[in-house]
Amino acid sequence: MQQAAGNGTMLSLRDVRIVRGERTVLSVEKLDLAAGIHVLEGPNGAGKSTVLLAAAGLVDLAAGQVLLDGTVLHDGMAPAPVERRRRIALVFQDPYLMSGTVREAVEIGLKIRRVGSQERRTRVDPLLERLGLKHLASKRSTKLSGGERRKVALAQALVLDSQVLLLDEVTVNLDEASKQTLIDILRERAGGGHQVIVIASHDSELAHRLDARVHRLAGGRVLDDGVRRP
Amino acid sequence: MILEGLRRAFEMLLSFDPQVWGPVRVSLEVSCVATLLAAVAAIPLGVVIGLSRFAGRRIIVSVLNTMLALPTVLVGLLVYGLISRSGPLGAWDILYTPTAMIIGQTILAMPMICAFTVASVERSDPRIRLSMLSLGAGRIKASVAVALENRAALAAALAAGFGRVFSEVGVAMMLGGNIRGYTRNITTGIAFETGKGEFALGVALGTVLLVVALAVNFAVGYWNYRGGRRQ
Repeated sequence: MQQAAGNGTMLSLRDVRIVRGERTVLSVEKLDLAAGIHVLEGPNGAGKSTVLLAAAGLVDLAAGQVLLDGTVLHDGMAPAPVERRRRIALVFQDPYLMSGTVREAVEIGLKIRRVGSQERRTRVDPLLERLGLKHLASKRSTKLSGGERRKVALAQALVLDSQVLLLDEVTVNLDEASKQTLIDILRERAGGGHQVIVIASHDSELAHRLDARVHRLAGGRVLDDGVRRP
Repeated sequence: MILEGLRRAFEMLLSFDPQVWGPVRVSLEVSCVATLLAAVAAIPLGVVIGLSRFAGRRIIVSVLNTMLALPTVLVGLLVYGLISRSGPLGAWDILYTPTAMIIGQTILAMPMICAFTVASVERSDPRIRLSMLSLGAGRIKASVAVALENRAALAAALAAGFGRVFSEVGVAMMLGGNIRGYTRNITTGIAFETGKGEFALGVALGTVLLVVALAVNFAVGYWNYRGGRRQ
């Protein structure tokens, strides 16, 4: 059973098929993700991360389309055109931080978008403060712990304030306080009603705490539409 | 004879004998310019080949790797054919000039720098490019980021390319002509002076060749070490 597309639908996958070698690793007939928080659940190899990569325009589609507000984001070879990808931010399961300081790492997406230094500072500083990274701003990104690296990767994506935010196993390595901060930020963003937040996670409690819609995946297929867990 | 040659060689070096330092200057100028020109073409090409997947890519990489063993005299011969008076580029009138040596050495260095760049980019972390793309970078910016994150390996590629051209003799002899004070460099100088029986001068030039090669490699090694410590 799939969720029907409603008026508020923002991100949609239509007849998306992804093939690696001879094997179809993802086959999604229809998946509509409205503004709000969605959690993709499923065992390893279910296709959660692949859904995120497809939505981000970073994996070749053998067939189908990814749509945002009805316009095509990605429909073929990766990477999707840059102006479409800039509407989306993705945090990888195992993020890579470019060499440089934490501040430079967080600012990198803004620099790519040619945002001026004053505005970069205005947007980055409060986020560093909130994520408990301010004291690390001048530290080299390669000297960080796993949890700190994860928070920097999150800050990189959050600071872009993109229409679609894709997070892969985002709570791994985070302590409880950091996890709660992240949950608060995501709920605030979702409350704005303009952002689609999609999280691939094994953390069964996360969906409940985020009051998210849960989409179960298995064998590269979506098993059910966004149900809310009590 | 060797010890006497060494003693005289150091005397010539320390007295800044122009017979020694003239060829050293030519070698440094020609090889540095050739390495830089080769890098400008070979590094972007190597990054593209290293990051792309297309039909025939393996063949291109195999050809590049084969060209690492390209005989210097063969490159000299090919360029000679092009720029000699009767060649298609004879009107340029550049045979037996430093420009001709630079062209030949650039051709010689390019496959090495390109092959090393391909190898380093292929071995680089695939997350670098994906991260940049996910942050909104275009393909070129993402590729530049891959190159920058692999700058230590690219510096080693440059050092290898420089080492290749700085120590070669075939191109310099065929295209430069070993003209004293103009195109005579360290290697052609060693060959010429030793042939004349000026063993000490040959040793002096050989010493500088060795010292410069060592200095370049130590500089790259130190730079990588400092980079590693900063990280």
